[in-house]
Amino acid sequence: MDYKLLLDSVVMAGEVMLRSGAETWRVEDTMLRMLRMSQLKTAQVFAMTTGFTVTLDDPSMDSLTVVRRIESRSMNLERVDQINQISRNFCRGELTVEEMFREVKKIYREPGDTRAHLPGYMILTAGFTLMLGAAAQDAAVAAVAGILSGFGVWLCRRIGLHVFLVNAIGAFLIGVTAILCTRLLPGAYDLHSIIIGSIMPLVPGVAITNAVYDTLHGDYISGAARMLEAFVTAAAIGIGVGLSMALFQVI
Amino acid sequence: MIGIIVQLTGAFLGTLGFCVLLNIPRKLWAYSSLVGTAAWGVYLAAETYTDAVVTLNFLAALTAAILAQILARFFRAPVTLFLIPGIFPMVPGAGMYEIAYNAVQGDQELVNHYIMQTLQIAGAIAVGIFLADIVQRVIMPKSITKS
Repeated sequence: MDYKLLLDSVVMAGEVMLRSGAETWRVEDTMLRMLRMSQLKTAQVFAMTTGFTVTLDDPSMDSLTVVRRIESRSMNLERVDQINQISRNFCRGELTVEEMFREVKKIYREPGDTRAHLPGYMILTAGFTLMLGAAAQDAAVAAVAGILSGFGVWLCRRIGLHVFLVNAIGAFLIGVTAILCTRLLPGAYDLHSIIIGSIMPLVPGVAITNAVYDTLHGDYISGAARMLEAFVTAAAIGIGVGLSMALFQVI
Repeated sequence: MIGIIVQLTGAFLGTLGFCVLLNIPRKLWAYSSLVGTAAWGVYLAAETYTDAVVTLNFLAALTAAILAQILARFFRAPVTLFLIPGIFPMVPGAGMYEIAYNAVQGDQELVNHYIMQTLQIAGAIAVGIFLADIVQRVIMPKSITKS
């Protein structure tokens, strides 16, 4: 077995997973399982939310070590699933190292997802507003607010704004749209439900879930980091919505 | 009754939206969305017995987590593919909004109330996920030792 090739593919797989928002323990677990296929004496992985280091060592050879720093992350669970499948097949012996390397590299080379997913935002915000027991006209306003904030978030990400600002701006847009629509359009609206439903794409559900999973698997540092991420995101949303409401109170 | 069906449809659509945003594989969309819908169904059903938001969120999150574990085994996919969209109906977005709203209104007491409530709900969701995962690991041990 070509150990260098194995290590390279494992590092790429780990990088894709961490970038795509997989839990830290899953990244460690997957990389370790793949490295164990080498049957070498030492295989170690240490992953955190912001990077990882891998070592492969045996008395018969020099040790191989790789460190990777992950700078940006964006959720893309499809890629996590793809890497998961490749690793499963490889560990069951259905793929050789060379085949595995090629498949991982194909995913690694794929450009990140740059679509704005506006239809997703629309059904999401409308759906959650309905879920909260609001009426159809509330859901319609929420859909508009969702699309606008989704577009704003996409634009802000494109120009590379800080995550905190992106979330605050998204929430601000929701607040402004919802308040304007409910004030200017005829009919009775439930502003609370509209705003609560519309901020759902921004709320830190992913961070909460991953925080629980990382903590549960003994990755306390990553778990704490994700919890902090959830707090910061919540604060950003609060500031965004609060600002929009304060603005309309002044006017 | 119609209200409940509308709410469940809303939960389905909402979680479906998350499947799109999170780039979950298309063939799993329906299942992930059903996890969220089922969780919200449990929430609504339990609401007739109790008003305690912590209990309600705990039960709903537990439902989502158990379903996600089963589906993950069945499809041999990471459990988060089902769990992350599944728990979104419970994530305390309402609490975050109420905190901001009351802070702007200047009602400090309500702000404190909602901060505590939001933290409790987040904790309840966490415990729900914890429990399902621990049970799963007792039933089906499969992890590898890391050192």
